Order: sequence, then C-alpha cells, then structure tokens
Amino acid sequence: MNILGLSFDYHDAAAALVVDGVPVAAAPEERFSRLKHDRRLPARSVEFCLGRAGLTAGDLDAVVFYEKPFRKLSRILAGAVSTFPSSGALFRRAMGAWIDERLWVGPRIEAALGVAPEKILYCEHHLSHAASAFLCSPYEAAATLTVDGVGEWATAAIGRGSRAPFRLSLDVEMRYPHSLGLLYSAFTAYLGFEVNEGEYKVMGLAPYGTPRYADAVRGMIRPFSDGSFRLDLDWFEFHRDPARSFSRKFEDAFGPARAPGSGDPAGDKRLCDVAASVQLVCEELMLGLAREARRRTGSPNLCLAGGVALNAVSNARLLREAGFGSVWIQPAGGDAGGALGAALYAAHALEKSPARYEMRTAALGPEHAAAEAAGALKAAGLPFVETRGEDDLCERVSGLLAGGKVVGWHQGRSEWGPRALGQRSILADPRPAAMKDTVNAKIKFRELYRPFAPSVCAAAAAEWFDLPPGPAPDPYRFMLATAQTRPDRRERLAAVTHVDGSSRVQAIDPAQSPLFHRLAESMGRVTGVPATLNTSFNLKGEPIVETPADAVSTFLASGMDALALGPFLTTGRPENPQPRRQTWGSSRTPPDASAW
Amino acid sequence: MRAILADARRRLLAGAVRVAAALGAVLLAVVYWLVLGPVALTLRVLGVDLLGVRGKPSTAWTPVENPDPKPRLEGAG
Amino acid sequence: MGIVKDAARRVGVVNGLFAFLWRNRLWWMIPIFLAVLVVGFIVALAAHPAAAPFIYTLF
Repeated sequence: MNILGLSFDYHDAAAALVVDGVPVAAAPEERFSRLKHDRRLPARSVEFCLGRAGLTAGDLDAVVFYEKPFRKLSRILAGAVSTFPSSGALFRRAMGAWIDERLWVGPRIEAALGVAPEKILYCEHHLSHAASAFLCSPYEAAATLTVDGVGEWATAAIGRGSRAPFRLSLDVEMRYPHSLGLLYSAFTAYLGFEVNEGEYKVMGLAPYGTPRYADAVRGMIRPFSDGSFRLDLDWFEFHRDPARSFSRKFEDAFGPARAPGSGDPAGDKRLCDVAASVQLVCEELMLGLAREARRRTGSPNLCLAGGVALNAVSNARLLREAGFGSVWIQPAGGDAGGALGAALYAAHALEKSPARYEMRTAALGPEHAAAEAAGALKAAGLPFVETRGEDDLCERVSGLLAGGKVVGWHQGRSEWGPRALGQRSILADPRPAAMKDTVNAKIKFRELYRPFAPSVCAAAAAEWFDLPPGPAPDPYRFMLATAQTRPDRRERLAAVTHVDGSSRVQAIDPAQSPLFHRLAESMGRVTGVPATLNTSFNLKGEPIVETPADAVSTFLASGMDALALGPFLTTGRPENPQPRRQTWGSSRTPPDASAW
Repeated sequence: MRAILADARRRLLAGAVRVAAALGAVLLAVVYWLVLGPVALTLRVLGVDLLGVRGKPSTAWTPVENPDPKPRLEGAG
Repeated sequence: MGIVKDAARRVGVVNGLFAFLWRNRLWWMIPIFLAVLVVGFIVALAAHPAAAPFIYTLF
C-alpha cells in the first residue's frame, strides 16, 4: 500500500510517503519553498515524495493528516469561551484562520492531490507522534511518551506499542492548557526569541547561568505524584492572547522581558539564570513524565517524540535517570514528524503485514545528481575540481578543515528532522576554541554564544565523550542528546564543548553514513581527533539548503572557504559573482501560535 | 489598454480582500460579544470547568479511549 | 475545482463538524459555530473567490 502522511497549517509542514510499511521519502516543505517553518499545504514535498517512489497521486491508497481538526477547533473554542471576555483578539484571529483555511483540510487535500475523499484519513496528533517514534524504533514492544505544546487537546501522552500483533494505544494524556511545551515557549518568548524556533536557543543559553529562579518556575506548576502537573494560569497569557504568552506577574517575578533581537543575551546574567532555571525545571518535569511511563507500562523501552523531545539536554538526563534500559527518539520530533507517524500508523492499521521498519538513518530527503551539482557551480562561475573518488574527497576536505578552513558539505539525500547529520552540513575543525566564534560570526551570522556540535566516529565516541562503552545509544546517532566531553579531551574539542563541558554529540554509524564516517576517520589521521564540527548548512533564519543551487548561493553569501558538492570541490570565488536569488530567504510565513 | 485594465482589476481584487477582511473582523467581534459572550456567561453560571483549571484533583492525567486502528483514522473528529 | 463541487465539499465538512459536536455533546458550541460560519459565508461573498485563501493573514 502507498500511504502519504501530511502535516500542515501550524508550523513545519511536511509530507512522508510510506510504501508497504517502509518510509521511502519524507521532507519538510521549507526545504523546497525556502521559507523557514513554511506551514502551507506541502505541495512540493508531496511532489518530491511521489516522484522519488515513481508514483502519482492516483496510486495512493490513503492520505493521512496528522491530527483531528474538529477536536482541535473545539478545544480552541473552549479556550476562548472560558477566558471570555479577554479572548476577543484570539477568537477573531483563530476563527478567521479556521473559516478561511483550517476547517477545510479535506477539500484542500482533495483539490491539491485529486484523491477521492474516502481516502483521506486523520490520525490524532499525539498518536501520530507516538507512531513516529515506536514504528521507527527497534523494539518489539515499548512505552511511548509524547510531549509538545498542544495537539488537539493533549499536551503530553503516555502509551504503549507492540509490533506483533500490531497495537499502539495511548493510556493517558495531559490536556491543554497544562503543557510543558507551552511553559517552555512562554520562557522562549520572554527571553526575546521566536516561539517554535528559539527554544533551542534557550537550551543553549542555559549553561551560561545558574538556576537561581528554579523555585520561582516551580511555583508556576502544581505537580502531582504521578508526574503530571497543572500550570497556574495567572503566569500566562497564551490561552487568551494571540500575541503574548506570559503575563505581567511573570515580569514582576523575573524582571522585564528581553526585547527580541536586543543585545547579547549571554552577556546578561539574569537572562542566563532564567534560561538555566526553566531548562532545569523542564528536565525535572520530563523525568517525572518518563518515570510515570515506566511505572505504568513496566516496559524497559521508551519511544519519545513531540517538540520537547528535541531538547537534547533533557533527553540526556532521561537516558540516564528515567529507569529505562533503552530509549529511541524520533529525529523529527516536532510537527513535521507527525506526517511520518500518521502514515506509519495508517500503514499498520490498514495493511495485513506491513514490513517491519527501523529508522537507522535520517536520509529520507531528495538526492541530487552530480550533473546538477556541476551545473550549479558552473552557473555561479565557480572554479571547481572533480575529486578522484570518496577517499580523495575526504582527504582534501580534512586537509582544508585541519588548516582552519570552513567547508560546506552537500552529499546524498537530505536529512529528515531539524538536525544536519552530514548530508547538508557546514564543517570545521573541532579543536580550536576560536573556531566557534568564527563560524557563528563569519559563516552563519548568528549569536556568538550559540554552541556547535561534534560529529565523531561511533567507535571512538566513548573515548572522547562520557558515553557508555560499546555502541553509543541510538539518540546519539541523530544528535538528540548531549554528553559531557571527557575532561582530559576538552582542550582538543574546544570548539564543540559548551561552557558546562557538554556537547551535543553525533556518533556516526559507518554502515549508514559511510562517506561522512570516512571524513571523520580522515580527520582522525590528520589531526588526531576523529571528528568534525558539524552545523546545519544554512544562514541564520533560513531553512537548511536542499539543492546544489541553494548550497552554492549560501556558500557565496557567507564566509565559507570551500564547498564540497557531491564529488566536486571548490575553494574559489567567482570572477563575476552572480546576484543572490531573490526568492531565497526573502520572507517568512506569518508568525503563528501553536495554541490555535 | 489591456495592462491598465489588468492593473485596475488587480487593485479592485486587493481592495475587495481588504474590505472582506475588515468586514470579517467586525462580524467576528459581533459574534464574540453577542453569541459567544452569553454562552460563556451561561456556562460560567452553571459552573462548567471547560479547561480543567478549578478544583483540587490528585492527577492531571486523563484516560484516553482507544478505538480499533481502522475506525480510529476515519473522520476529522 | 468547480465552485459547485467545492461548495458541496464544504457543506460535507460542516455536516461532519456538527455531527462531531452532537456526538460529543458539545451542544453549546453549535450556536457559536453557526454564527462563525455565517460570517465566513458573508466574507467569502464579499471577497473575490480567487482571493479568498489570503484573507485571514490580514485579520
């Protein structure tokens, strides 16, 4: 069966195609449209998915939307009614969006794809998340925990899954407005970052502070002994105001909010301390939820998804402290991942014997032929060489990196999820401390305090980072958890070790990413450190590059020294620089709140 | 001539959208105060706790119903 | 998509919504949604159909 999963209308629209139980293609719309967090119906992603499988829309057996729109609408209305008369603006904006677009999900899918209405299905939001983790995991049976801002009503859910016979059910859920994701987002907004985008900046800021406000943050929450909790709504506005997520009381307790884009937040001790405090409380709450999942299900395995499952620091604590023997986390934890989960759930619900699938690699996006890469370089007037095979490419690139150069790396199928894992990456030498500032300032044009991650050969990971001996746990495959850099190695990993000694490690599996692994090995031979500094191939505020042409224009717009585009390597600048494409990073979809 | 007409049509369209949007905002405000308001006040008088924020429960977990997988996928509600 | 076909599909969605509200005993939502849908109808008439998808960004 050919089943297409879709998520759109909120943040990160995406499409995923599952054929006979196996995901063959998945990609977020932003990579094609070049609009960060594009939330429109993902027509281009669909086109890619179908094309990759050699199908047309007529070949689809089902199209599954990642949530139940009517339930969500009833929750939004319940919220507006219970906060009357202060929810007028929220009601107008939300209902405007719903009567104009959001209510008509079915007809819009029909019109865009030309599929029959009876083929359009809807999978609950947290069930989609749970399926995206469990049905990609290696487990026969497992507990699931999904935590995000809010789906229909649920903000977190505990469930359980088994492969044979297939069963995936949700036991209990926490409901709006009591939400860990919305709590974290309120602090994201308070700290002057964009909600649904800047959460990982809060996480990156936290190690610069001490959690001296942790008790104040805990004061916003009424926890129960079973890990669940309620929020004290006096601190928040998200349930009644479309433009504001925290209340006056919030600013009375923590001081004035940071204006977006103002100053260096890492230079303000108070803001760092607030970030450290909310991060600590987030970790505590996640641990409480995970321990309850363990207690309820008795399973030694946990599958994790939802936006909060992208918090690598809390994931690391969860791996160590929640009591599970093994944890698997969906790399596209946010709403984009819901498209894949919805399609996988439907495949198991509709098919007698779907293939058993385990996600070992996130490379589910488009691939571009060498000819296209050469064409993009020629079009930009860039001189380039064709390397003599992968060994030659890796040797040349590691030589450049060891010499202090920053290299764009565009290879193979693009990654599923927000992390660059060696397909669309900007690479640098992980050793010199100054490299962090160089890449932040000259390459990505972003805040100097932001940390970078290392990608290291899996076999050597435990030697450099505080990881258990043997193969690194799966979340490290996808850069979904942090680990402490071993103290005696920190000097040699100075660019990728955060101020608290932690590092968001990617352990490169040679079987799944042979080329990227070979590059790290080559780095080991040249520098003695089998790793690279690895950050996503984009500039601040833009989506990760998709095509060779995107890569070339980003290369030209930044201070990168070289670009490895498939088998080709360029270190030169064009004689006659081409103007930047106008569509590229020119605008964003309008801001949106997850709550409505 | 054709260009002028096309331009006029585009302006007219943009104007219509703006007018419709403003009209929509006004009408939704009317609905908010005249329809939603009385419903909200009635529910408040009846003591209905729509968001689950009152009372002193011992947990915030709510049990979830789990229909069979196939029917579970049917319908937008 | 023809306007008639599109309208028929939207009527189907509205039917589904009210069936959902009825089934879940959310009767009190019915008058509010009826009013909102009337607003939607008026707005759709006021705007050119081709422009309709862009309206809500202006709200």
